[in-house]
Amino acid sequence: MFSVPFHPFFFSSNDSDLKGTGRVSGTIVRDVVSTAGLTVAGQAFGSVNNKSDEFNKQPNDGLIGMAFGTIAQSRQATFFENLIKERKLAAPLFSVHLSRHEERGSSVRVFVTYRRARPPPCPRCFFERVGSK
Amino acid sequence: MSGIGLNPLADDIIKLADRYSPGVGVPAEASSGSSTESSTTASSSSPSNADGKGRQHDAGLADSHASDDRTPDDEEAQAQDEMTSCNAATGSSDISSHNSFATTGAGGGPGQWPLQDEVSGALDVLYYGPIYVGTPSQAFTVDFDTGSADLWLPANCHNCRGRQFEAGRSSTYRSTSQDVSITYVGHFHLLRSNPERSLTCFPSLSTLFFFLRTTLT
Repeated sequence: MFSVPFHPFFFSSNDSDLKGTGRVSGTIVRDVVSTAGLTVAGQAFGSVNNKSDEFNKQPNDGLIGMAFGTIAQSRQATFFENLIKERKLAAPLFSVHLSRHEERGSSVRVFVTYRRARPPPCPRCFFERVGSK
Repeated sequence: MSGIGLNPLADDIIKLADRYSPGVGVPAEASSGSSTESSTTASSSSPSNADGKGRQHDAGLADSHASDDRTPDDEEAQAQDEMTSCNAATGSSDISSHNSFATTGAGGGPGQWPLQDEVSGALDVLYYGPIYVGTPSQAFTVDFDTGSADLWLPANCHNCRGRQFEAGRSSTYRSTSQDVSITYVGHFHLLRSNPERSLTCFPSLSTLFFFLRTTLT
C-alpha cells in the first residue's frame, strides 16, 4: 500500500529500475526511546546483531519505520503509534519536509501542542490520507 | 504515486487537524479549490489563504466523494499537473521560501525532528535523524522510512559499522526472548525520458509536506 520515497538500502540500478534488498536480525527489546522532544517508555525495537552489507554503506546507525504497525515484521507498535496511544500528540499526524540534494533542511514534524505559530505559507503542499491494510 | 499514500483525501485531514489544532491550520494554503468541499474546508481553516502565492498545487486535495466524479481526463490532468509541479519544484522561489521553514525545524524543538539528506549523485538516497535510547540516553541516527514499520538499532553486532546500543549501560532496558528478522525489498521505476523526474521527484516535490493520518486515535 505504500510506495516508498526513501528506502533503507542502496540500490542496484540498471537505468530505469532500482531494486534494493536488505536484512537485519536480532531480538526484540524494550527501552525508553525519544526524538524531537517526544518520549515513549518501553518502546519495542529490534536489537540487531546482524545486518546485511547494504546497511553498512549508509551513514545511519539504525532505522525507524514510520508506516503502519500492521506491516511491522516485529509485530510491535511503532514509535509513532505509541506517541498517539500515549496521547503525546495534539493530532495523529506527521508531516515530512524533504529538501532535495541538500544535506540540511529536511524535517519531520508532529503537532505537540494546541498553540503553535502558523507554519509559513506552503505553496506546494500535498495532503495524503493513508489507510492501513 | 506521491510517495506516502495512495488515496488523496485531504479535506478531512484538514478538518481533523483543525479540530485538534485550531489555528495551526495544516498548511491549507495548498488548496486552490479543486473540489468545492475541500476548498471550503481549506479556506475556513486558513483565513489568510489569499496570500498571493500564485497558482497553488491542488493535487491530492480531492475528497472521497468528489473523486467518484473524476474522469480519467481529470486524473491525467492532475497527474500532468503533478509532473509540472515536480519539475517546477526546482524553482528558486519555492525552495527559498521553504528553506526558512525547514531551517527553523532543523533546530529540533519539540515536535520537530531534523533530518539529514544522504545525497549520492542525483539521488537523495535516504533521510536520517537523531534518536535517543535508554537511561541515560544513548544517541543514534536512524533512517526515516515510511515504507516499513520496524525500529531497530545495532547491538553486539560484529559486522556493523557505526554506533551500537549498549544494553548494559541502560537502567530501563528490558529484554525479551523474541527473535526478529526484518527483510527489506524495494522496487522503483524511474522515468527514463526525463532525468528531472527522478526517484526523489516522483514522491514529489522538494517542498512538499505530507500529512499522514493514522487510523489510531
